[in-house]
Amino acid sequence: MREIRRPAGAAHDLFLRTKLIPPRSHDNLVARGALWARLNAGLDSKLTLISAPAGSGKTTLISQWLATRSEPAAWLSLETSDSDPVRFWRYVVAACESFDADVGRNIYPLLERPQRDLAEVIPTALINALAQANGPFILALDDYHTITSQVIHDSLAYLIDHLPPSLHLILITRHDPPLPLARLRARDNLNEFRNDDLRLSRAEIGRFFEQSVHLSLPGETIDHLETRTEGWCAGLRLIALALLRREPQEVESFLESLGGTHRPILDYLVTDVLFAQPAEIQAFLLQTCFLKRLTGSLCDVVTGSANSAERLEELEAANVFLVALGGGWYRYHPLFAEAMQHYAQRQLNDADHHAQLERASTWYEQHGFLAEAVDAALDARAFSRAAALIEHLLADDFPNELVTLRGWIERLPEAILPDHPEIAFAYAAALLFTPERHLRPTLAAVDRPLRMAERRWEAEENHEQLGRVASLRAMTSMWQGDMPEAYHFAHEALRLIPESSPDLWRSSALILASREALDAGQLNAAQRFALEARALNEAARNPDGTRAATIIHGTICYEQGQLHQAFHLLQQILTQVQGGNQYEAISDRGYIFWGLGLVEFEWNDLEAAHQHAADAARIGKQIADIHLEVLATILLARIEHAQGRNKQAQHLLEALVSAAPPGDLLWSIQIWQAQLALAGGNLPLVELWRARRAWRQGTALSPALTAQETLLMARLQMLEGRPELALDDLEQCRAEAHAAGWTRAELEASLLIVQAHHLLGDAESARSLLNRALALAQPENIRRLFLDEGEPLAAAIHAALPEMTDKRLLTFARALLVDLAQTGHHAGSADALPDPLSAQEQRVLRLLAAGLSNGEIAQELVVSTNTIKSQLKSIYRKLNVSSREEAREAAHDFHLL
Amino acid sequence: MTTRTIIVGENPTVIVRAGGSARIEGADTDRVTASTESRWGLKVERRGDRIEVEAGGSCTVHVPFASEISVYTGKDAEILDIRNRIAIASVGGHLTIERAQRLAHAQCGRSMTIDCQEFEADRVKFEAGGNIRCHIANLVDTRVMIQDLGGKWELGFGSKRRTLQLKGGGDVTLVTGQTPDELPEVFGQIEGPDHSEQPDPNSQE
Repeated sequence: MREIRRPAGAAHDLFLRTKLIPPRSHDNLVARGALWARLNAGLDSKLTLISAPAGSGKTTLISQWLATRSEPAAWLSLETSDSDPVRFWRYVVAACESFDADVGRNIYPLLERPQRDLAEVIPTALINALAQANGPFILALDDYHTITSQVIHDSLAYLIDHLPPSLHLILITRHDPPLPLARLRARDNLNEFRNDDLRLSRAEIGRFFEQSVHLSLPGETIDHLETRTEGWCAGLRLIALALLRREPQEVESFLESLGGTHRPILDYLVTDVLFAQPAEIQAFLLQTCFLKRLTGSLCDVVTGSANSAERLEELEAANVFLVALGGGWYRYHPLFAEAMQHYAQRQLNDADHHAQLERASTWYEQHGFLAEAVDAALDARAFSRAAALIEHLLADDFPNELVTLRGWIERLPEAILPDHPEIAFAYAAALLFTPERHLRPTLAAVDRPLRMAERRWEAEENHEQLGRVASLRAMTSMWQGDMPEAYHFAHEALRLIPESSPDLWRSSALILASREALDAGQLNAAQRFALEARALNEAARNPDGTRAATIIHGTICYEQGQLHQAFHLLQQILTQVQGGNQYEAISDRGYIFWGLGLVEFEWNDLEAAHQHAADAARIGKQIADIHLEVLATILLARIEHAQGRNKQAQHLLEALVSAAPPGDLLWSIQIWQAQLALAGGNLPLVELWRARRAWRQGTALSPALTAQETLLMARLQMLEGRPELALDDLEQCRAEAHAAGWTRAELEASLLIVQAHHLLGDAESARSLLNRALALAQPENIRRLFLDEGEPLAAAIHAALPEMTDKRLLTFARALLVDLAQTGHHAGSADALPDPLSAQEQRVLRLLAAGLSNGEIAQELVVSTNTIKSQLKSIYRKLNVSSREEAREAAHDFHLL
Repeated sequence: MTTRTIIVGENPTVIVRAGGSARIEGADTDRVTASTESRWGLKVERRGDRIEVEAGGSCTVHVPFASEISVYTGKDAEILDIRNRIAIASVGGHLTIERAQRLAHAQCGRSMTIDCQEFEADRVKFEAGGNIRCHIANLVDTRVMIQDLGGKWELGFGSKRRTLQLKGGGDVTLVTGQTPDELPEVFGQIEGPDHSEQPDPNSQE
């Protein structure tokens, strides 16, 4: 038996490690001591910003300075393709691995997750990882101006805000990034270098020419150079190269010949330097200037020569345009590369140029750089090749870089998509998973490529892929607010994607199916779907899906009467979204608060419930989620009603009616208006609801609302003195709820049946069912269902008390009576206890509950221990308990403390 | 402790869904017995031709050796002595599969330890958020593609007409008694078994 492991560092991967290497400094560069001193002094701030135009010497300054520092420093050269948040962070983390090899261990898996709150999740993970490593460290991000993604800017701002003290960040950019620079400046957390700071002074210009071309220029010439170039590093460098081929007496006339601004000077100088090279070097430069990074074998393939490695070494030694990156890799200075590309485009014909790029694409593919291979193929307009490469990447677990993927596919001609359904489908997904997924135009944009994929897979009878199309359609419909259609597509997806392919498409369909079953009161089915969805999302480390499945699971547990489990589940995921500012985190927090409020309300902890319901309603308004706002406001109204503020409760609901769209949400508000009005004795409002209900006949309500209407009608019939009419419907409702595992509905129906039997004088049936209801409610401390029934149920409980034998149920029933009394529905706590406690016994009970021993209580009350013992016996008997712990619980339940 | 039992015969299809962890153990029995110490509900029901076990919290389930099982858990799962087929193991936490016959799909959020005789179908992927330690007795004609924290690597056995993908967020270790073909040094190394704690079979003691 053998073990096969990858040896450290031996695996090839998708990173271009050359991007992590700072450009190597030449020895003949001018040392810029004053700037280095300012850089050293700025290490106490969070960020050093080098913001100046191209060719100002930004990169050189930092790479030179870093070479003088002893701290570990990481470098990342950014480019346009890094404007994908996933790719950007993947490279930043890879760069930070030079500080500590374990930095990425927990972050790479996060980058593979399809998540939407990346802007905070990844920087947070990086901050935590770096906080554990031994600093200080310096991280330099070069060419940050190439980054155009707002998500990246936001997440970098978040990183800077929470930067661990051990890390100093340097941004090198051609223009100011959209980061909160003013705030950083105000807090003295920003060390800035701009064009004026980077200009070479008169003395530095003189030293530069001495060191680089061994020319000692007269002061007048240096003045002239300073005036013409304004200390512009790139210009001076090119002039130095040009002067190498001229006699000293020609210098002045050459300088006179330079005219215009930097750009024309640059173009002129690059051309000048280029033409001075031998013909084969000129050809080499023009053929390879399009490559972002160069190495011998790649250049051989592109140019058709066999000595590129030597040529690159020569060019680097001549210090012309090339910067060595180490390991045989180089890159052209971007400014010179741009100028050469500009020239090359005029010199080379398209066919030759495309052929070179296609050869580069093949080289990249053969060397495992598939993303670069796609880029080169697209540049070469070799679209079939690009499509094949994208398909290859998709089949081989392409990283979660949706922005990159979308960019590639949008460069393909649309006509190619019908023949590549995987690409069309991936494009639809990339279009959907954006912050605009709620907007109407997204629907049409997603639909077009989705139809292309669908047609092809229909022709191929590829049911599994058609299932994924259905799942994507379900998500699209959900985000567009069309839940019936979302449910329809979710079931279609579950039918087509076999259980044996449990991927994320199946799990998102399961979440929707669970939500539909929950809305329909089919709790058993809802739980099956939710458990499966939770497991699939947890296993796939998909935090958004896990949260969605867990919120639904928590709500199911609440409806099943499993209040403790619901509370536990919701609390567990609340910690994941605390402090998150992304839409999904805020939305999830709102639904979690609502769920917690529901449970606390059921436990009759009205203060906590009010806090959570108010928070949920505020979030609903904030993110314009009317569904959340309605759910939370209804809960707030119920809490207000429970606290005896009926008018406020009705005001809340009245205000909600005008905001809610027609349909289930509106009817739900109206049912609660009627239910609270009925409980508060406001019969005209109940009659209004009854009339509305009659007008609405024929319109299908959701099963949950239908059940709620049935129960409300039963209440009304009992109030009208016709309990016998309500019994059949209530029994049916209870049986259906029981079969579906819907414990709350079962309990509510049971309590109404108890009241009906009580009103009809059937004490035995009332008692028997009440005992069953108490047995269901007591373990989870379900109270509000009882308390909301008020006086009629209190009377039924009171009548049943003498026959109750189960001690726990008896204590629970008495505690309910106390709560009912406090809400003004029934007699006070003295009535709840058949034999009320004396004043002395209440004093003893309070001290016991405070944790005092018998001896301590005796000392406190200045009596003997034996007296306390006998008083405790009496207290136990009256409370029907047999231990100090039970006595404490009972004292709490009966509000005796 | 809550226990539920249902008579099922010798080779039932059993689906276990648990909000917490689950331990599923094959046994010489003709019934499915599930137990939980959690108060968050336990159901064992026959639904169509399948036996479905649902637990709100964690549970232990004994099934006949020849059961075909699917497991979905929010937390960890241990699956032991299933001599038929594990169709799906989708597990939020750690997954341990020991002495199993055939495995079709495995995915977990944390580490994965697999010990089974064979994998099913021509293209199978096992994926874990953490380390994977995998022993599959029969890797004949298999191309093994591995992706772990250090990057991608692969090795092959025979014709490579079948593909096994192992994707781990940590380190992946493949344990095999077979000799892989053409394993370039750059892609991996084969370590000898660690005998340091094993008794010497030739020892007289």
